[in-house]
Amino acid sequence: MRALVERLRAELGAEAVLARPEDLLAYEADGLTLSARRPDAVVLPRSAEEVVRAVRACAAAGVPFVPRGAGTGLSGGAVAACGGVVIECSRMDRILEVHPEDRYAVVEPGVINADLSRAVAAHGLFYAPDPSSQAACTIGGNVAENSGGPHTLKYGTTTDHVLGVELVLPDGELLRLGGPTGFAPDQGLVGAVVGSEGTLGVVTKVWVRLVPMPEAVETLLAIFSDVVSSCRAVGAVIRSGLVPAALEIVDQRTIRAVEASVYAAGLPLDAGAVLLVELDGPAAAVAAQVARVRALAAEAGATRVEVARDAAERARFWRARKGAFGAMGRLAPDLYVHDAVVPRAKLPEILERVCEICDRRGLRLSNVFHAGDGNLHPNISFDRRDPGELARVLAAGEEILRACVEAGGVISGEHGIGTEKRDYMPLLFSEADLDAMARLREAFDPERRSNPGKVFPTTRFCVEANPKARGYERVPL
Amino acid sequence: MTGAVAGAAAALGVDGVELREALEPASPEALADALRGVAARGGAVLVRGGGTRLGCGNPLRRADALLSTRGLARIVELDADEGVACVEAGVPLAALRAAVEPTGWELPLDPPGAGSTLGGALAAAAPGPRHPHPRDAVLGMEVALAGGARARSGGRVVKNVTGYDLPKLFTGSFGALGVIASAWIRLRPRPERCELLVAPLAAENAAPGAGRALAPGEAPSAGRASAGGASAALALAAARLPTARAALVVDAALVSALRGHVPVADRDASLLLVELAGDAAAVALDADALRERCRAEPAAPEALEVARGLTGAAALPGAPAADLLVRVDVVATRVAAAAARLRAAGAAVVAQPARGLVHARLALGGDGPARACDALLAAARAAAAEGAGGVRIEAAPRSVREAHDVFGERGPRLALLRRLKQAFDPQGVLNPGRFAGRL
Repeated sequence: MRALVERLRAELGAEAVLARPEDLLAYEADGLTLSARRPDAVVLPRSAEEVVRAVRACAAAGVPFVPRGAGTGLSGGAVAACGGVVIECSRMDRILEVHPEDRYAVVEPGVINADLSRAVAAHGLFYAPDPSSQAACTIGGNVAENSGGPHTLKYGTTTDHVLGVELVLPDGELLRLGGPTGFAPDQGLVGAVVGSEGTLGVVTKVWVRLVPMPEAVETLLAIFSDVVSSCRAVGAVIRSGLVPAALEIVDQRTIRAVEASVYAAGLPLDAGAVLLVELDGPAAAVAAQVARVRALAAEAGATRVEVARDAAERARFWRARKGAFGAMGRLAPDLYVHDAVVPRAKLPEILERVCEICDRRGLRLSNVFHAGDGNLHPNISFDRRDPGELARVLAAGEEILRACVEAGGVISGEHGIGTEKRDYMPLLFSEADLDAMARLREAFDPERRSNPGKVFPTTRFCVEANPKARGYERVPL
Repeated sequence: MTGAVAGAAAALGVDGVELREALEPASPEALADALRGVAARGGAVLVRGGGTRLGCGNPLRRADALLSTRGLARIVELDADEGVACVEAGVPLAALRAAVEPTGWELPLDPPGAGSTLGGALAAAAPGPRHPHPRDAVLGMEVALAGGARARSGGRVVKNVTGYDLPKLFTGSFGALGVIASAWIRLRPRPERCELLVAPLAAENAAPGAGRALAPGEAPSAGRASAGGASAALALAAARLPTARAALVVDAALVSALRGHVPVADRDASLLLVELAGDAAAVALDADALRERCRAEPAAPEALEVARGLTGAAALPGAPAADLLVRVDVVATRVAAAAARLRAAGAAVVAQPARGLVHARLALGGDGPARACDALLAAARAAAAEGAGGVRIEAAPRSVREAHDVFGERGPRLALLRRLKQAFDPQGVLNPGRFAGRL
């Protein structure tokens, strides 16, 4: 390892390489703080060329590497589960080209998601995928996780907005896939890279699609006496043919936490659920849609429906949703944000099950979900210093995932598999299914050194670490 | 093996390769078994759905069996509440559309080629005017691999990050990596209102001698390949109206194919066809804008069908037979320039301004197909280079497809594609030769 660090210092400059324990501390975890492992080194490249050098050095040493953006991921994707070198791309933060007439931009992977939309706003364009962490997360990280956010119902996820990538393969080859038009013969490879969680190489450039800002935006807040009727309203809206920009539900437990915090949005504490509906598009269309949604919500049993009169009020409505995680921080030192998906119609029943699963274990639960696409986020407040509670949180998580799969859903809608859920992949996929995925990996990363220990189930050790590596510890995470 | 399939096998000399056997499995399991059998004896298959794209792709290098997917004909599930459907690969798109029709949802796939099956449409990833990217419709897939394994990926839900997005890999891979057995398709809500409008576009960049093949060694002049003027800007603006779902500019040379479906127009003008779809109020506003800015008038829905057909290889009444169909993709601001280059090389063009797609049709003949073909391909490559895009040969005689990789030169990506082929189909059982790099 020392020889590798020396070589990295020589190739990238000493200030781009971290190897002292106190410097590595910040990189031992990402947003999934429960899963921590200190890397052997961290490099901070400033260009694709430097990434190539770093990857080549790792290849020569037989050492794994871990691409990392802002480290906001929630599934352990940026953690060095098998040790090795973290390649952190935050210094590659330039927006290289903006083509407003052609509606695309070319960016380095360290560009922060919200900064990209801000940079193109003057052209009446925006970058649509907007995960909750968008003020901090990077485009490269978004590509790795196929990130979503509240607006995916109408606008899709990251994969619908990536036209091309430049990638450093684990053997150090720099390759471009796709391009500005989105019709390249290798477009399928671009699609395979998005959501590959850093296991196919390091992305060094992204061609992103830019979308015109809608002419009008309207936000509605509908109060319901229970979650079931709020879900009924969502179903009615979707079956009516409307495609809202966002459909978010927060439950009573969340409302109470929010109202007790600085994010208080003026919601009634006895509300069973609050439905946030955002509509956007041509002004004429939106006006008509507001009336329809109002009517559908009332029919489904809404006790009150408000339409935001201005930007301030719209922000207040969204606080009810966006303040949820911050508000939960008051309840306990730790928060486990679960992520799973069920067919939309199954939401009410799965919610009941989730509540039962957590209540039975004496856990503090609140629910926030992207109701339009069945993506639920049960959040459990706990104290990790209480080992009994932590064990109950993890057990509840597993039971929740099993319930979602039974209902026809999947084990992750946005956060990815990472280390967190790799051992649950067999709930969804057979050996043959996983073998097919392994073949894709084989073509890109035959030595399994690109972010090993992620996505695929492992037994007790990081079996994917290159057995040829010297001085290499296999330590369970 | 049914008589019809045996007949098809006998009649099918695909790219000069004789297919001695015909297989028509009736289920995904039988499909996997069939492949296992072929692999075990060291054979290879040509996979056929509706047979609409057998002349696309690079020439088949070898195969001893025709593998028909027509037996995979079930619509396994149609969930009208969620708006998703699980459909086997052999279901013809027309049948699927008809099955979805009563539910209030729509199938978001409209490639050219009647008789196309779901599996074929996805394997070729052929763009349609309304839905340029078939991959967008797929939520999950079951694929049969070369050795007989059955592999599922994705799921039935629209939000899903669980392992690799293999459906994206298989879509557009021309059956080189696996045979699609079934797919979960995401349906779209039927728009409240739909209107198809047509407007004449003033001829500009009227290339002298358009329709004349270039002389040997002659290149299209820079003057002909100018960026386009008012008509191009108008067409792009129309294509980008908020409710515009499809927009095509059909060359004057092809307008006769639209006869009867559009109001009679100036014979030298190309036609702009725009389909508006969405909220009634918004569609009405955009329709007014088109009427005002372009003198647009209503067109019969069949006009869009015909225009779609012009982006495909099949012969159409009224349209000149096209032995050569080339698709160029470029950024939006280079569409007009690309169209001009292709016209100057003698092709008749259908352009989709907002999508960045330009289809060029050319009848080969006269004093030898090679020269006209080379001129068109040179023009296409120049246009693609200027437009940051690429060239795809959608249809061509075998000799042309043997001389030119229909997917364009792959360059550095070829090594990766070879490794993928090696990983998924090391024995070369599946459609040998047809994919990029002749893999």
